[in-house]
Amino acid sequence: MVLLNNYKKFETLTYDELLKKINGAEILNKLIDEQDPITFYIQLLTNITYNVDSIIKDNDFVFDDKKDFTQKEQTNNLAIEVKKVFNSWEEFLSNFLNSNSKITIFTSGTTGKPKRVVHPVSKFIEMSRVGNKYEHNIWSFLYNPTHMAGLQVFFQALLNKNTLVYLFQCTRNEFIDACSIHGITHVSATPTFYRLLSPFNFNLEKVEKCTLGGEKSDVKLIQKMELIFPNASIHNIYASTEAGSLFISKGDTFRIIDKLKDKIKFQDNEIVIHKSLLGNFDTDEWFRTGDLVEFIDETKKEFRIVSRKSDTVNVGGNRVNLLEIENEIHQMNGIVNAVVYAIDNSVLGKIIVCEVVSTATYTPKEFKEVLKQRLQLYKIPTKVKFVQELQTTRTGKLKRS
Amino acid sequence: MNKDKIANFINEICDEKEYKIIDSNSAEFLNLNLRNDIGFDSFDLAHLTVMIEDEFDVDIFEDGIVLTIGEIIKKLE
Repeated sequence: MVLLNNYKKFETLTYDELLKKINGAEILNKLIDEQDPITFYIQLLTNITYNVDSIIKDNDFVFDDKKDFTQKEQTNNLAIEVKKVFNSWEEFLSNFLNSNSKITIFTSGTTGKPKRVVHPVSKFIEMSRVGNKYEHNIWSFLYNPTHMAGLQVFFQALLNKNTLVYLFQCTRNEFIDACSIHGITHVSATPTFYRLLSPFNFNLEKVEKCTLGGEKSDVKLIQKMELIFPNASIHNIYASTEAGSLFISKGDTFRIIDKLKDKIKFQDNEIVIHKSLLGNFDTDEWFRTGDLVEFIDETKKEFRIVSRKSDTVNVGGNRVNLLEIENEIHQMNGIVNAVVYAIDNSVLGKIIVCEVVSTATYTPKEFKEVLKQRLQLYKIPTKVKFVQELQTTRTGKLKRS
Repeated sequence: MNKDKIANFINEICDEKEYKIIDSNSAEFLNLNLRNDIGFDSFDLAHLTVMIEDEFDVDIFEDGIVLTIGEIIKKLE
């Protein structure tokens, strides 16, 4: 079993070699910097098995250490000498499963300053599925290792001793090659990642399961994914840094499972989560997620995610949903990818701008003409930019700026 | 120079919205009222500000309403 594959520049480790590295770890650092993934995970796993809490610094954000970390956290940074030695993987795992340490991670801060959220390790264990039927899974690792989704994939693979192929920030061709070479069976990534696999002129028959998370997907993307992953079941996951994974969709329809029914409610079509399902952070009893839904069947609590509250802007007195526009653009011929955002404007307050990657040739006028058949005039982007590629964040989501 | 650029920007919007194309050499060009004579609505004005801001780094509506092409050109001087 291979833990992390040397796809780019990182070493490849078996789980036994990983255990030796954990046994050889000399000190525990409470604050963990994202370095290379192996160093990062050795530090994290060592902390967990020693019941030391971890604060994962995310290099995506500019941290002011004096403000963002307390004096105690900083002075406690160099903590304890490690002396314990695990004689077997089972011994390590038992220690891991009974750990009461906590992991602090940060929200992406897209709607403000990154917020710290503390999760017990047991939360990640609960979210993982473990058993014989998972033992042959081979995972591609496509998320930022310091974020919730990355940690979930890592723990899922670790607890089943699955091969994990590190492909975070890989190119389309590197992904395709890695899937063929390593026989990857499980892929979890953002919709943006899957869109960037275009052109969809290949297929990866060994992939059994694909999940999408972190952004809203659309039916057209799922149809394209069905072409390249012909044998895979494809699901959307609703997850957040605050709550972890909560719902899995059938198509684009989510349903709340019975055991969560008392802990999830909707206010003005916004998903609201009871704090018992959340990590520890400063919140009221009920946490408003900012994610808006439309109901397919309200009695069965079946719904579709429509957008985030922050995706709605006011353009000259009209409320405009940016994702609605993006979705319509994706339905147009030849569109590979698109991002829609708003910028300040002295006449209307905000105007809509879109950046588009297209294999078809449109003039801005032709492009807007097509959209006018689908959207009200005030939703038509004022400015249309045709680009070679769209910028993404390190999390793999589209950059809206 | 600025006069021609502004005329091109305005005509780009006119073409897109199927308004009558304007002539930058006509006698009344500088006095043309963006709303009343050319037919611009607030979305067209917003579009025009973006084009001009991208080119000249000046927000022509920052200090209030601009009514005519002549007023735009004056702001860019």
